[in-house]
Amino acid sequence: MDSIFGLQGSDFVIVACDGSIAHSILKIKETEDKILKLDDHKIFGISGEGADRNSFGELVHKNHCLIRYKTGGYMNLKETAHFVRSMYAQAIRSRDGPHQCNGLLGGVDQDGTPSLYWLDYLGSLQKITRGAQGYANYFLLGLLDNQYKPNLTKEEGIEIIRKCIKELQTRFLIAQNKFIVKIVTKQGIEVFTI
Amino acid sequence: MIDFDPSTFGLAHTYQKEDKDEINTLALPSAPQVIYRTLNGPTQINGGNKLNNFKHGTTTLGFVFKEGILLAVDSRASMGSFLSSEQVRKVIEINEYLLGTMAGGAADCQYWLAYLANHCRTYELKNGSKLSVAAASKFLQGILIGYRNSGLSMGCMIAGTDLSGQHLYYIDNDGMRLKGDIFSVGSGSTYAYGVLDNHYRFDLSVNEAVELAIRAIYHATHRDTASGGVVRVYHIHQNGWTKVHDGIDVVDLHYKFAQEKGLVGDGDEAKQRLF
Repeated sequence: MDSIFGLQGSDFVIVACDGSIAHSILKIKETEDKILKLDDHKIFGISGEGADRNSFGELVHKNHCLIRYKTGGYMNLKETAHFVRSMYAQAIRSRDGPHQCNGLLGGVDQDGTPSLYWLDYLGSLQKITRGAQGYANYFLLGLLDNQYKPNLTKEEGIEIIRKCIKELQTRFLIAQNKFIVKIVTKQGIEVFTI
Repeated sequence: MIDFDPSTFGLAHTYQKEDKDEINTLALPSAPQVIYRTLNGPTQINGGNKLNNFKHGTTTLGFVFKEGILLAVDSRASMGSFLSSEQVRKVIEINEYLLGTMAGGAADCQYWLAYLANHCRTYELKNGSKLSVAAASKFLQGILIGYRNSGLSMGCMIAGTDLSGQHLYYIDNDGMRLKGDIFSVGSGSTYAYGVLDNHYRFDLSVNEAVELAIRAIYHATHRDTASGGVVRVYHIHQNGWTKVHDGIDVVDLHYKFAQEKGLVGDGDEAKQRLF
């Protein structure tokens, strides 16, 4: 039931998530941060039930650190996205089955190019400019397609995200009150809650 | 004579008998209804209704406030409609600075929290410093992720104190670990949340917090059949934990709270006079 959505602008990427964790009819927590910070310029929003979101996130984060340590270098967005995809793909026919979570990986490269990738639990990977995971797709893709235009400024991007949140709060059956929004620019990651 | 047509051996076919005098049918027993009996909680037929499947038949709660953390639990264990005990200890004293609450399978909680206690002590001896609450809860999460599909049933809270303060974590058998300020776990948790969410403030004093915790557990035990017995309250502060109340009978609390409102406590306030 998680809502993860995001869009890419001229020099930034935004990924937003709802904060609620629910168990059948009970909302256990409302302020859970589902967007993982991989490094100073990459964020990975993960949607999934129970432990999968947490454990896959940790797996990606630590392996990402390990590769950077081993290669002594920096992984750009394209490399990271393909790496995460391969982690999903390796698990598909494993003993424990696929990792039951989907993700939205966004960030800005060292030269300032932003990119946003849509990742699926079976290892699908697609570079997108706007998108969502989970039920949010049904409510937000129309709105995101309608509002998106190339070379958005940061303020316009934030405004579109606010509209998306308002749409979810109006039309989605599940009450999602708190959203965490993370924006990656060349200067770093800004976080705020709406 | 039985007709040995191969198609009659298929399970999907009902055996058509021409001659009613011959008793040659192979009666296959129908699959028995699966009845799950849990130590705490109502009996579930065929897995139960998923939406209301609060299989942890208990009420436990914990919240963080300015003076530390307060944990409060009930003490009832039920097997279906039979009350097996009214004096269960659902707060497990892991060590002098960590407490765990029990919900779900009693054996699972007791065993794995004892295992965690062992691990904490070994770490302390090897490394010369105590394990942090975050690390202890993460260790337990790792174990539960490994046993994910094995049918463990645990919805426990780990609360403790370390150098960075007092912390409360919720961990369950799915391997979920959440850090938070207010948690309530068990079949009575929804009732306790109602009271807790309404009166909780971070700047409660210790006495106010204890009063709030007791009230929340009482209200849960009043409405939830799988919760009851006595209320036990623990306070975690920077020097470890203190057992504030070892067992306040919820029946006494019922009459006490009713008296505060000027009522008798027999539920007659809604009764209409007939004459």
